[in-house]
Amino acid sequence: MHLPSILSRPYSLRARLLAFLLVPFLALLGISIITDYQEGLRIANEAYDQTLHSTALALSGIIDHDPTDASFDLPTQAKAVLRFDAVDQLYYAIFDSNNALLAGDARMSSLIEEFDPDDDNPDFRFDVFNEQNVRVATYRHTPSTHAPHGAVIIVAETTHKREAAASRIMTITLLSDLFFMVISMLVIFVGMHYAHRPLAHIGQKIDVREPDDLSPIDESAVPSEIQPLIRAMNRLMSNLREASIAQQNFISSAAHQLRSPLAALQAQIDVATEGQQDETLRRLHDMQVSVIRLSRLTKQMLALARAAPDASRNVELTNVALEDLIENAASEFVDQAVLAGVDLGFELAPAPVWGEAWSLREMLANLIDNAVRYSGSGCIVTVRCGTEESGNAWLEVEDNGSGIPEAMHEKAFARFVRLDDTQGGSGLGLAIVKEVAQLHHARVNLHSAMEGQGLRVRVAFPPSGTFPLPS
Amino acid sequence: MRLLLIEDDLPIANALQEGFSHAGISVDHLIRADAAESALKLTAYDLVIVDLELPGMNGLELIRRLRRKQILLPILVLTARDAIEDRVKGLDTGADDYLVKPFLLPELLARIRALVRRSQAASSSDLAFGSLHLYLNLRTASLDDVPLELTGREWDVLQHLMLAAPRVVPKQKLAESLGNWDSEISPNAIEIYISRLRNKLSESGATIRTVRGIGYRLELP
Repeated sequence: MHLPSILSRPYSLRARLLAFLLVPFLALLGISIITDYQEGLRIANEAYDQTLHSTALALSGIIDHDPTDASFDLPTQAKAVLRFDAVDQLYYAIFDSNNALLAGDARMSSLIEEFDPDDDNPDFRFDVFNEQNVRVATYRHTPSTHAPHGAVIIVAETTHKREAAASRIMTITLLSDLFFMVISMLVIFVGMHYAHRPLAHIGQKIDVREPDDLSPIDESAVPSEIQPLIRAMNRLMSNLREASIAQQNFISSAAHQLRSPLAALQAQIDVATEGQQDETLRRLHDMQVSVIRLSRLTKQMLALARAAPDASRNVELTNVALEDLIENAASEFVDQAVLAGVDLGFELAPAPVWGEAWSLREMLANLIDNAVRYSGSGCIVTVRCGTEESGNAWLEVEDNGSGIPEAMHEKAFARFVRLDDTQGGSGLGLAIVKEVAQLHHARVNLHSAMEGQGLRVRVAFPPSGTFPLPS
Repeated sequence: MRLLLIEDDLPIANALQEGFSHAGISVDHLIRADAAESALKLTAYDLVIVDLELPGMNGLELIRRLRRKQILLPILVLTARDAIEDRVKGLDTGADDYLVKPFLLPELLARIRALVRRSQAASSSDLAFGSLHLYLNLRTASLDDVPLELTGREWDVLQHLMLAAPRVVPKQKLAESLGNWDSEISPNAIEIYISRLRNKLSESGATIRTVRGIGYRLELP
């Protein structure tokens, strides 16, 4: 089935619901207006008819009380009262059983109808008299001593009052029903706004998640209507999580498997180099460089796989004194720096961090490795740590090498991006730094070095102990 | 120096055996950990190198057994796993050091020498670093078997550097451990001792490297 294109575009549930509600609502409103109007009209008519009825009865009383003759006349005053009122003309006539006028307006003989025993008494109807719309009441007087053959009393009243009442009833009905409708729509609209709030709230919660946060959304806290949707999303996320864990495990296990053969290769080359000369030595040396590079890449891939926030491992956070961590690890960094001809120095002040020692060490190793590798022989690399006045610990590695252009700073964080192809780096270093920083809720910024030349990488940690444990 | 190597990966074991013999270290090789105990009873080794992932009894189990029997010789662990838990587990069980595969042969040799140096210092009161010897009981030193004139402080500093090598000794820690209640030693004084030591060691081949901002490290070329 092809839905109209308007439905395939994003649409508002609220507008849809309102549109669906509006049609039956308007129909109901129409019916309500019609029935309200008719009922109002009926009640108004009945009231006015009652007056006509009374008039007819009063006239019949006159007949009853006139002992002398069936033909009589009303006093002029009474006639005036009968015929006059503010808006409507009243006419009357009394006929005997042979339709002979006993009293009143002779023209009204045109209004006499055949007697029908089913008719009410008095019987009311609308008619036209004297070129006006009138309401006619026909009262058949039962035979009495004074009118042994009975009489027909006809009272007719113009319908101005009734028309005025009708239009007033129409106005009131329309106004009140419209008012009712507007208020109802408003209530529905506002109600829907409130009913939709949990949706917006859930959307927001998903929106502010870390990109790699695949933890399930709490199903119990959502309205039952969207529970199936949330459940489906949770299923999707759990699949993604499993896939991601499987991938991490694969990388980790592949890296582990690579370690032993690499160790063998490296040791064999180390041994083979001994006593060799010239061409063979050069070849072996090239092989050694490649193996060292491969080893480093393997270690980094493993570190990256393990540092990823979703890796299946327990994050064990403790109080880590960065200055001690750096001091203890200094020896291994010094070896690399000596080999590269780089002057590696430290400026360490107390820097307590709530974190994971091995991944912090991995981060440090990669920061220093990057600085030593890319600055080159004769350069100075300085590792600093300390605590700001606000209590935030920080770590900095600065070199006076060629640096990274500001425009490339963001790019430098991506995996396998090597900004300088000549240095034999894997390009994974800064990606590991970024992952570890993320794990510690720390920010990593690249700056130009303070001396103006070179690169300064600064990792700013949140105040110790203020961030929640990653789930 | 004689080592026992327990490693089931033959290409690694072969290369290590060859590398060790080039370095003047004799080595016996075992593929399984089960035979290690009897080998240790027969021969006086200076150090055991054990791979953690072994067929049959694994490396950790072997270390646990040796330590339970009060066999105190230094143990260096080789492992393809470098998760922090494995490191801690290895060291808790009684290993003295660990090296994660893949490693560089010179690095392994440096670790072995450092471990043996420390253990020999404890057992024989003789601390050796290249041609440099410290006699712990007498508080004297020799270079190429020629007595080396050192003041008490210089000897203390050199002992710290030799015991720690190839690790860096923080200047602050040197000052703290050399000072006592009566006399505080300033970092400046340490610098003076280091400078004098450098002069006296200039013929030895051993050098004292300054690690800017941390301290000093004793190195062989």
